[in-house]
Amino acid sequence: MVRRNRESGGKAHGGRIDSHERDKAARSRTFVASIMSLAQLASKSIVPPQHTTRPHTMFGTDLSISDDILAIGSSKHDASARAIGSGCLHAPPLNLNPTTFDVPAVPDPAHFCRNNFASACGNSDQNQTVKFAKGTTTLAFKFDGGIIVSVDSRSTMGAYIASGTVKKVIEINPFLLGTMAGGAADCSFWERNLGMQCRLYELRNKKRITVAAASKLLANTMSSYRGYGLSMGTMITGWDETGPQLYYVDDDGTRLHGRYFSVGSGSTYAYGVLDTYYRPDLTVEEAIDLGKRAIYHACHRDAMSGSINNLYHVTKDGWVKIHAIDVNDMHYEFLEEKRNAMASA
Amino acid sequence: MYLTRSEYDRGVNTFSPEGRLFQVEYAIEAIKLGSTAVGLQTKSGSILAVEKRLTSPLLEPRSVEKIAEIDVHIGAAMSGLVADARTLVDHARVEAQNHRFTYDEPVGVEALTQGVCDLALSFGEGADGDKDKRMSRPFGVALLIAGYDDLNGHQLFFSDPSGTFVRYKAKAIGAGSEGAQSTLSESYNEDMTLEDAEELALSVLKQVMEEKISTENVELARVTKERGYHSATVEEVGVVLDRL
Repeated sequence: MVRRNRESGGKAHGGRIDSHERDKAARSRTFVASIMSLAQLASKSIVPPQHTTRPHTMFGTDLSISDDILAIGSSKHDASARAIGSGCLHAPPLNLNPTTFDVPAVPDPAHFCRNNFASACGNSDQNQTVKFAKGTTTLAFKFDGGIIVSVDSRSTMGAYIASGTVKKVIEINPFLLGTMAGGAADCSFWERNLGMQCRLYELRNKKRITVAAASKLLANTMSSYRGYGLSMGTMITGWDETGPQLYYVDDDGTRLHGRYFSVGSGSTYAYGVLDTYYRPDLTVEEAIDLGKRAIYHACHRDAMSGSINNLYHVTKDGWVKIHAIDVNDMHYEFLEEKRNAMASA
Repeated sequence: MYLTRSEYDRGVNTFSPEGRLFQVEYAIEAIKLGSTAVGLQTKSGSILAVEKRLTSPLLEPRSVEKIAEIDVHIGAAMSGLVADARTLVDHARVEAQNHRFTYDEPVGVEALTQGVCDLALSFGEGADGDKDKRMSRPFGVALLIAGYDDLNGHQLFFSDPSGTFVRYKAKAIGAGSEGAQSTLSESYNEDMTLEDAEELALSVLKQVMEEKISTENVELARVTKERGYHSATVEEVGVVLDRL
């Protein structure tokens, strides 16, 4: 098990950003392969000598999902794990409950994660076994015509480009979008989980959840797994009864309300464009163009961002996907534009 | 009657010498006190219809809800202790969402019903002081679960406090179930349209209800392949009542 982790850890390492990246503002993630080693490690180490998951967490027997999310890793979880033979007649359960995942079967799982995975929470290079190398550019902004969400599609493992066709905008439901920065698996898992919680909210309360509440659900999940090595920097956007809303949520449990955000290694470049050209009274066409250009400039200067620009527009009727354009095509389009402008000047 | 049963109806998990579980049988009796609910399955969709007992003119009719949406493609009608049904319905909703999350597909109607029955049967399990302690008695409620899935098309399931579930073409539960079921046996046929089924469901209720049927005191829902679960509005109920 340890050897396997060293191997994949070695592959993931060698990336250029491991040693010097820890700046929260320049959060730079999206990796695919490194998370596999985490999953392998979790699945190997979890074969329980005792009950490592709570008794009665077999698929479908839980009445409440919120209970489970908060139970894992808490004293409640530890106490029930210790209470062997507490009337549970089931075999040690296979964890099929999608609201939780198994943590390493060690006395202090959080401590174990900190020492073996270099990922979130500023615990950068301390000779951990598994290191994550990642990079991305995502942005979202509110304006008078709704919200624009614009992202790149590159997934990197250090210097290696693992994929150029990653969907970094996660369609939580017809009115909610989330973006992906950090661990691709962490983002897609927890944002799908958020989608499930939002749907249950709808069924129980007979109305759509607000963006504020949805982002808080995600932030609460992140808080309950703080220190376990999750890696996620996301923007949750949507249109609810209070109008267009935009929140930033990350693995620290940070949750911020704002007009515009950008997340990832290329975010500084994107912020440069946004800070210069953003106005609340942009027309829809201008806003789409701004979202497109901000991602283009980030992809041009940031080695860990690139490939396709996916752009979404959120209105009161829900989100619409506007385009998916290769940034390489954009480069020549903008070059032409620049030449024409210089010729006429 | 109760004298002969005494001693064996105390514990929920104690069989009588004749091999019966009295508490479960009493729970099934509790359903017969509940308001009547009817479910019909046709080739183009399923119908659920429930009588609402409005015990006071001051009662807000809309606050009585006896048909619940489980997921976009499944609905459930209840009869018996409605509070118990809420637990089952919430469990079913969680089960349906868990299935979507894990398999990225809608849950099958039979699988969902099985999940509900697993909970219905788990009474008496778990030790004292166990934080996840389940229900200590059987659920005093029966459900009619109607839904659509790609594998088996439109389906209607009936589940009771014993955790048994059976598939029906048409089923009535609750106080008026005996009369209603015999009317259904006479009038139901497999080739009836969804509109015919709606009319039959409401005319069966009209027959067995003590009060005069109106848009206020019945609840109606359809499950179709195209629109999924849809709870009928007061106007839509009125349209069907006018056709009777």
